[in-house]
Amino acid sequence: MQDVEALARQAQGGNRGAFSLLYEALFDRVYRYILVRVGSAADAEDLTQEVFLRAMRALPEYQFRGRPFAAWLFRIAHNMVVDRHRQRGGALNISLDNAEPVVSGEDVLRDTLRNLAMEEVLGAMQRLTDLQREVVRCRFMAELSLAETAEVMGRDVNAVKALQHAALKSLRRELEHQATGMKKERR
Amino acid sequence: MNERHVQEALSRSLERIAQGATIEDCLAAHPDLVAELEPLLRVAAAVATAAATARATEEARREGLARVMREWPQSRTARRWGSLAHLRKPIAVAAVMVAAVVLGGWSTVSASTDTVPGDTLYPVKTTRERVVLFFTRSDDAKALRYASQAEVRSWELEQLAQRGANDEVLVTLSVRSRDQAWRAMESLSFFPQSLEPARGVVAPPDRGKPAPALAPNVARSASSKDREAQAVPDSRAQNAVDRALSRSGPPGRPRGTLTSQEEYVLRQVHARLWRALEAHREAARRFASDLGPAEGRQFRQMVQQREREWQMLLEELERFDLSLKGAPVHFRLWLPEDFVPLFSALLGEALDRAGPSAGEQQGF
Repeated sequence: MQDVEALARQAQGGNRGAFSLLYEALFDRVYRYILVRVGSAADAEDLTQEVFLRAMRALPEYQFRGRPFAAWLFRIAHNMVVDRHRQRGGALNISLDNAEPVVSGEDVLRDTLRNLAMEEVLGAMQRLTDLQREVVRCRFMAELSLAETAEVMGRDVNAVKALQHAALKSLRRELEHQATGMKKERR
Repeated sequence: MNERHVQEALSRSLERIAQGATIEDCLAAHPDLVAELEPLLRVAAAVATAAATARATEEARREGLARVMREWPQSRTARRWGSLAHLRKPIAVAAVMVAAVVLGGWSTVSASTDTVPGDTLYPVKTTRERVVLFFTRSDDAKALRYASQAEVRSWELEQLAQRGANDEVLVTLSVRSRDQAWRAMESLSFFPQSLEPARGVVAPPDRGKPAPALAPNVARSASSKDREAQAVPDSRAQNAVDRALSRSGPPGRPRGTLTSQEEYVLRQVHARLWRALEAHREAARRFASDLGPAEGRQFRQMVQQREREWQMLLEELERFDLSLKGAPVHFRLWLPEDFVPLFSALLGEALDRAGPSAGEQQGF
């Protein structure tokens, strides 16, 4: 596993290879984080690219003040999504129809269930508060740590812990409702 | 109070899971909270798993990286040697090795400037007589490793070696000193036709006195063989080579003031590359003419891409710093950042092969 902080420092020093390693390490996570907020795979891809471009441009001025680099990057992502929503009038389309699922090839049923699960998750997330949703995105999709999430959200760690707890409880409730509902339909 | 307790347990558990613990491990650590904790952890795991299925297309990934790399300010990469601290082994090249490569007809694979990891080398094979190698980074090291182990596992490489000038491509190998150069060359004995002239150029190290980097019997007169070795495909190539030479020079001397020996070596290196590029184009042209329209289009795109990479390699070579003075022999090759891992690997191998005589590289 690469040390993101070390890579970031090297990249800031001009090491292009280090930046490309950062890119590889973080691209998917940024993509996922953005995807669940803008809904369209194409938009998410564009925005993800923009995030890295913006990060590259801002890197010389970035100060390593003991804050996690990933948090800075996801802050950029967050701002970019907010800007996009402002431009586009903010209708949040959460359909994942265009997202390219990872097809293992072996077990089609399992793959189908996996895709279905993401739809369910997004449906359930609709029932969360904005902050709870952001915690879920940061912690479980962008794979940020508690500290990083707190940085990105501008809240303290205890608040994030509380939000994470509340979010998971709500998600559990929603997913159970959905599953029960589905079972009823199938009958 | 209990809420807080669960929150803490939840946080700690998620942390541990992120570090590789199982849900069961975490539940075992909080037996009194299993009823509350377990469903939350399972939901978290399910969400993360579901999220992991969402991936961008490969195309989008690559495009993004390419855009970043294109915009990467050149001035930032100017501090080349400073940013090499992260390499395992230093890079130093013996001019002697280059001479061997140039004069010896040694066929190997050149590095690609492709910054996208994960590309694979694939020989474009046909039932026809020509084999065209498309080169990438990760498999170059492998290809060279085959050669360096005197074990040609790839029949394409074998074909290439036997075929002679038309399909040859060039690589520069990095070694620390003439001793190593000599030993490295000996390990390449399976290229018999290439070793003989090389032996003539590189005198075995004479421990008694500092020997010249190039053996004195390599005459500087413009013999027909020399002219042939320095021939470039067209006037554009000639101009490029002249330009490159006017910008080359050892450290401490003004650019363009090469000795005839230095110029001799450099001209051959450049000529070699240009000829190989031309041969590549020709082979590709011939090959493409036999493909169907869709395949042909794809093939042509690949060829264009490789040629762009090759151009960049040639441009990089314009910044040679060549220093042929005694032993150890140094010559500095300015590389794009992407080349550096490959050359580090090559150097590592050469050093391993040649044994521990190297000593540590001095700072530049």
